[in-house]
Amino acid sequence: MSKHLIRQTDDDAAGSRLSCLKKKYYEDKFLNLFIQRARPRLPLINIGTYCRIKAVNECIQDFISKNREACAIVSLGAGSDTTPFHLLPTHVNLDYYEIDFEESVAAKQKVIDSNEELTRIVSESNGRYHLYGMDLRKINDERYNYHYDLNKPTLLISECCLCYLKPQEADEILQFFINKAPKTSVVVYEPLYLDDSFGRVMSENFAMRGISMPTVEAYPDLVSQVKRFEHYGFNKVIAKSLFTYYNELDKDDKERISRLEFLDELEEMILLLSHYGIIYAY
Amino acid sequence: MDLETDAHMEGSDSIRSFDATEDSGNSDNLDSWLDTLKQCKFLSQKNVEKLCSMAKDVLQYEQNVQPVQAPVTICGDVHGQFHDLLELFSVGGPCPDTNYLFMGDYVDRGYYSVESVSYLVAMKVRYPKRITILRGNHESRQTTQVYGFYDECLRKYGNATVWRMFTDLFDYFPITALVDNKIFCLHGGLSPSIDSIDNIRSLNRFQEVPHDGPMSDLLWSDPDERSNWGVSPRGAGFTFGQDISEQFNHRNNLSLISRAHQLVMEGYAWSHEQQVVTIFSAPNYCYRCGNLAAIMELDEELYPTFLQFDPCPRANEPSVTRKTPDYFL
Repeated sequence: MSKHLIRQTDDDAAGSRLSCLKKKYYEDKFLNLFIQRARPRLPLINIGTYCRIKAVNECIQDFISKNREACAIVSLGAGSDTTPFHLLPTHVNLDYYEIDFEESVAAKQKVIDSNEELTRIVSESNGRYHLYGMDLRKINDERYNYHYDLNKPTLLISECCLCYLKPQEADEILQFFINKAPKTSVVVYEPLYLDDSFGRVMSENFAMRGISMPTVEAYPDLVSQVKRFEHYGFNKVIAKSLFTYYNELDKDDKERISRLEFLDELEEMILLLSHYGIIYAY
Repeated sequence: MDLETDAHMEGSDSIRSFDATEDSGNSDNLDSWLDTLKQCKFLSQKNVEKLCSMAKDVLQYEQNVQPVQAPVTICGDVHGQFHDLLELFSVGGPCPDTNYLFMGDYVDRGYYSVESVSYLVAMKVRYPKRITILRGNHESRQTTQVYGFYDECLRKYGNATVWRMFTDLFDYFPITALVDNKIFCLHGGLSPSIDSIDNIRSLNRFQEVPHDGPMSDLLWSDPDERSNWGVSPRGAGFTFGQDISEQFNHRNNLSLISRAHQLVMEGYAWSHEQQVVTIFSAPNYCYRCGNLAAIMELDEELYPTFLQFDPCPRANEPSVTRKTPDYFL
């Protein structure tokens, strides 16, 4: 897949986050700095986006709570994600690495530089924030010999990033960080079940936008995702669909989001959310 | 980020607009309106106004429980998938040779709600005894403002007048039908406020779909595996168990409740030990779901035959830059 198309997927994700934020599913005081306008998404997209943000955040919180003394997060294909700016001020023993294409990184740096609060957060982090520009497929290329201090518990995050790559490319990237960080955890969020009738239409619709997901073909379901990470030697691999995650939202939160917008039907949402998985391995 | 704002546009709406029968208003012109619509061109605002006024004259005399005679072909949600609606008529046979009963949800979600609802209403006016069109939960002012029909009217006509004319007309649509006194048809399902079909006859249906109460339930409820009444996760209507369906069918001497409202991957699905059938007639719903569509043919003996169909091949669609549905990327 071309760099341009992969970068567009971040615009799409940022648009979904802004739509979700505007409907008050969640709060993020920094998001508006990165994206100012987005067409409103359907309620089912807002609900799924909310579940995805919350699920990844819960894995991050779980990881940090277990490693308060010192830890690092490496976000692959971070795009316009605002998580580091929320975490760095309150977690003084956290190092945060964000990696994305050079163009994406330059755009992000520009936003940071033009905003006082972000500039202050980054400068007050005393070098704990790292924004690295590169095509992850060149992770072993010496020209991108970035510095990583991962001799501490490290969480790798891939939110719809590795799925755009070939399985061997994704593996090479995971292996690179697993070798560097003796104590690694991973959270991966990506599509599943592209081989059933809903998934086939999903693939076709992706293809119409030039998007392909070869890694999903290699790990088509939750069972193969669990095997994928057991293979790296993780002791515990928790894999659930976004729909399971939605079902397990606490009752008050579920009621709160059900009041935000009017959802006309469930079947389509169940189908869509069942076709995404959150895998947390540690 | 410009993609964000432009992605919603469909392309050359304003170019492929408008029929040429601007000044005609009598029923002789219904055929030419239908010809226009069949080409997926929408009617002028003036003609929509005439059409809606003619339709009110027909629909106001229909009953809350509109009697229908078999044989008849029963159809579920259409949701603005106009090319698939034409496919439905080619699968089921042309109207008026075949009698049709549609159970609501003509608008929202698909790209051609205007054409779909105009076509079905024009067919209703042209062949009032041959086609019955019930009201679905999407035939309402509130729902259409969230799920697309309002925006589509604005995009195609430049103002909200056509949306207002159609949503005013929706208040006249019958809410249920009864085939040969045996098969009870409606969009959603049963209501705890309604024991007998006679209860429905006494409702005042000529209004916006209320937030709750019997009329809302009929358009919103779903059958469920759990017995008795349950809270609907949709936030409107109820869920009802097999015990409720059995009681209702027994009390009203019915053989079947036929309803739409829920996406089912095979296009139709039995529930409650064949006391209830769900029919869904929008294939690959929202251009996303990968489901088959179905319609149910009832012969003179009320014996059902299900006809399933796939989405109309994309090659037959006009050259419109089709926007793909959203996912999480």
